[in-house]
Amino acid sequence: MESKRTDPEDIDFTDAELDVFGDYTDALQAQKNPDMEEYLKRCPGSADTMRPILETALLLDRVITQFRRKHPHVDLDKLLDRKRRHGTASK
Amino acid sequence: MNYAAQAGGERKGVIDIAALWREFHERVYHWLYGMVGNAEDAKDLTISVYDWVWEHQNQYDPSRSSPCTWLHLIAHSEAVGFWRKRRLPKRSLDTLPESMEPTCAGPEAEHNAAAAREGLWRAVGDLPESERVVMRLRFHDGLTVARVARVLHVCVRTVKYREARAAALLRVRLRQQ
Repeated sequence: MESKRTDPEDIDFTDAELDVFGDYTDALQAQKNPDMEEYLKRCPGSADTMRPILETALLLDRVITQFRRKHPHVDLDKLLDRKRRHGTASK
Repeated sequence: MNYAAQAGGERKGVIDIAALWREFHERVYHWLYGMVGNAEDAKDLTISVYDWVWEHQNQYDPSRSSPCTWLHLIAHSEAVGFWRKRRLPKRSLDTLPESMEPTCAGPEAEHNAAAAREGLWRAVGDLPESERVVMRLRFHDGLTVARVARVLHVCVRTVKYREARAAALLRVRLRQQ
């Protein structure tokens, strides 16, 4: 079954796509340097739509790995909190 | 249920700690038990979670998360700290892939990279809460899909769905920036 994606806020995935995504991100976190194309071969019908999603996961993994390496004691939640990041939080 | 502190309640600031304890302490304990694997440490960490809540309750923002989610994130941080202190080996920088090594790019490239990172953080911060929590547990804390499912009390497919949806939303929002 092919997934239909019209509204980005209402995204649907097939079980095969979810398995590919989950396995790929597991491999990323295990630092196995996974070959994206090998994973995409498992869902050839939706490779074109899954590729940018896997690329985004790869980007996020790299950025967070760098962040943790450079700032091991900074709470990620604070970084992601827009109020705190822009100094408008009230305590 | 309203967890705002009420007159006469056991409170310091904006949250009724006693109500949070009554409603969630068993759940927090079970989360922590699942994370650390023994009752004594789970009890100690549960107390630590509520100590932290007591000391930092003014940081709670009900517009950003439910009390349950907030407690969960605190509990998870406590559990991660527990493992970092006791078991997890320190990761050597030598084990990082080459792509993680610092580059010798010029100031303009560095500026562009910093702007891209800022855009990514902003996009992650704007994700729906359920997706943001999963992304944090998966990418920042390094939990497996199965473990995230156990911690959040949802099925494995739900974790995979939220994670994939988060990546898709990030992709869309990064393109819009």
